[in-house]
Amino acid sequence: MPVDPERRAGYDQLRERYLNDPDFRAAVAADPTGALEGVLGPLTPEETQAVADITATPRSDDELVEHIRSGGVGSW
Amino acid sequence: MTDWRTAATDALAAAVADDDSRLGCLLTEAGEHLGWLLASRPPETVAALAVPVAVHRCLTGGALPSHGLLASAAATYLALDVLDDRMDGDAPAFWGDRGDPEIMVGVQLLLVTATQVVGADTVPQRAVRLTQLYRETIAVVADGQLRTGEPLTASTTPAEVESRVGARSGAMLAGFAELAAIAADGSPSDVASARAFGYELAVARQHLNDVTELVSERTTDLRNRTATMATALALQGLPIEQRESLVERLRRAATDPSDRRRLVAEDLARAIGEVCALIHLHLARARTHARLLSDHELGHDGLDRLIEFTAAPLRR
Repeated sequence: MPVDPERRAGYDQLRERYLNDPDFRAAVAADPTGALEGVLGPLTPEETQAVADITATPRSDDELVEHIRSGGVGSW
Repeated sequence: MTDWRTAATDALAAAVADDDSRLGCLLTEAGEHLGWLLASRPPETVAALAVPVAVHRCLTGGALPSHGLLASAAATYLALDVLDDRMDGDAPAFWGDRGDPEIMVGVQLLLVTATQVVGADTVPQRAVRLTQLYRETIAVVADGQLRTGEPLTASTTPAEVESRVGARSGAMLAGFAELAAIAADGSPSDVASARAFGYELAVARQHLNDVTELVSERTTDLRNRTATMATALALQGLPIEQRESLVERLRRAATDPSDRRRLVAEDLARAIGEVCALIHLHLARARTHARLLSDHELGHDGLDRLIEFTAAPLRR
């Protein structure tokens, strides 16, 4: 794979923690930059974009639900 | 530049039997549905076509994939879409007035056609490689389809859901992205990046689709007890003794709109937010692989558009 092995290992760890640890998910919601840097180290431009998107995702339930309602992207 | 939507519908029409037989009519109907779909909705909606087109264009400076690859992607999309509808108990997107025997035969014909034409229009050695990869992709996707049919239980974990989504949707777009990269004569590094791009994008799209359905009026996943990421994350956040109760409430919510709204607003709201963050993390990986593919400086607008199409609905 063209992505360096260290980054891949970091993403494996990130996925593992995110899918298995509710406390880590809460940490990502509260401070996405800090939580991601804690696992991956300094963020790449793509990861910085992801943090901006996570931050820009509506927080209130109603707001989020309304945004998602308009979000169909196709099945396959 | 040739519009790939026209090229894809033309390629499919050329690949299927052109006669008035019952089977010929079935395939014509399927092709007409694809033409309507591509004309009436954003082309990114049909990712099984849009992804290989974007990858091929990125690696060749704008050239469309061969008619064989386009027809194969189109036939596969149609076959899996109608099969999905039948497995979910939904009205099929096309062939709505056809019985199960005709639909099953139609799906077989589409998949056989896709296998036959995927390596057409290329040199024999590459054709063999494309055909082999296509067969492997479909075998993995079919297995993933069966795994996603396993119902949600109190012990379903987010990691299991991620694995099932990867085996079904992820394998499908990873496979077609890889086919396009090989067809474009990409380097091993290009092929790996294309495959990873397709995988990450597909998993993000599937999670977005699942949360979209959960908050909408569609109840297919609840009715079928499909294990989605939001429900698995919500279960994991509960004490073990409360998980069975949530599974039961989810089942009942399929037929109770007010209970469904309460579940989404109260019990699942946090998990839905967590799924959105997960989607953005998958898209970060897709962006990375798109950038690696664009090292050729031939542009990756099509890849970016596919990513933005998935990210945009979740932005404030």
